[in-house]
Amino acid sequence: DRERLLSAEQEARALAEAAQRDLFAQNERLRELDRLKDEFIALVSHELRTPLTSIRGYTELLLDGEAGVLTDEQRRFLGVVERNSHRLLHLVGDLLFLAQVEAGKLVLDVDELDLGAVASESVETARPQAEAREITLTLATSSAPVVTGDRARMAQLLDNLVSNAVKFTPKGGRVDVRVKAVENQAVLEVRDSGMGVPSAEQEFLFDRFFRTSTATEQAIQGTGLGLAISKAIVDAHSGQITVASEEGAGATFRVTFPLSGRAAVTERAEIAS
Amino acid sequence: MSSVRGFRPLVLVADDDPDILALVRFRLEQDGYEVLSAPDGETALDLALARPPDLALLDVMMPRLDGYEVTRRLRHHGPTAAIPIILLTARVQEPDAERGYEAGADDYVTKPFSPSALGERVQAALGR
Repeated sequence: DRERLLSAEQEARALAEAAQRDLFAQNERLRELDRLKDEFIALVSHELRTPLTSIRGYTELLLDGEAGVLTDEQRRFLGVVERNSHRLLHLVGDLLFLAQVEAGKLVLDVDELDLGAVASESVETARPQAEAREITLTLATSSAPVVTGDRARMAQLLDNLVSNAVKFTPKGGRVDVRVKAVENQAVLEVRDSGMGVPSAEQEFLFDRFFRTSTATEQAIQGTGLGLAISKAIVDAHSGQITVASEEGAGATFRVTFPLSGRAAVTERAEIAS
Repeated sequence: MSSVRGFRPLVLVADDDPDILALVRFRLEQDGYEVLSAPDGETALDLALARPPDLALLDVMMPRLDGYEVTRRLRHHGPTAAIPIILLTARVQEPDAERGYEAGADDYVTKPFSPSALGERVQAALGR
């Protein structure tokens, strides 16, 4: 009887030790996988940016006249190369950003930010585009909400939302940007008078590579990554992003963040996809 | 009668991509620098030890010795311990830049870069 108890105990102990070894091995594999993800992102970044360096670099030399005077047509053609390589570069940046978020590798450089000031910079950046298409672009900040966040990412968010609004608004329309504090939240609204988003498509709007039927119909250039990236940035800052829209009647994107001091924004953001 | 030689700063450039190496060489020579170029870290170090440059532009991801390691060794060698070292890299994540500064680099330029903007950084680093 006692012997049976002893042997049962030994068996249980052996099982526990085996389980521990398995767990240790699994942890090692997960660490290795994690390291491989890092290396993959770095490798892809390198492989895509290296040829772009030569494409953009030599095009710049040509456009600067370093290889001789250019004819008007040569200059025009090189301008096309320049613009498209810029598009490609932008796409590479967007894809890498999403890869980092996917892998839980997005590192935030956290600081106290004046959301109104960030919005103001993005609005001024978008102003030439807006003016070229006679779009009225306004900014109203009714207080100076301070949020805890990564300045570069916040600027990226604002740039995305404002440039989208301008892009999807026809000539002569308007885009209004509002920043305010409501109760314990910072609120950002970007409203446009453009083509809007069909209600049936609104639930997919923040999916990667999703483009609305209206955007596709009107052949508006884009990759469908802007809103996925915007949502990733908002999520990383413990915020919320919503859209209110009717097809043909414009769209309002509303982003809320906790005001500074109300919520902790961790430096390494892990987003569940 | 002695001939007057203009002082041309010597810049060491290392990158494993031959097109980028040629791009930077072209820009720097146009700007009036003398250029030593190397396709990998070991060659770069050999060149620097044989003839100390006034500034080093180093790619990070190179075979045989990476840019961080070349930087460290240049910092440990008398004649190159205090020269400006600029790292060129397609690695754009924050920790990569920190690693560069920790190795002893003074500046970190991400690819793609504008050749003329790079030229301006070199000029600024040499205090011309």
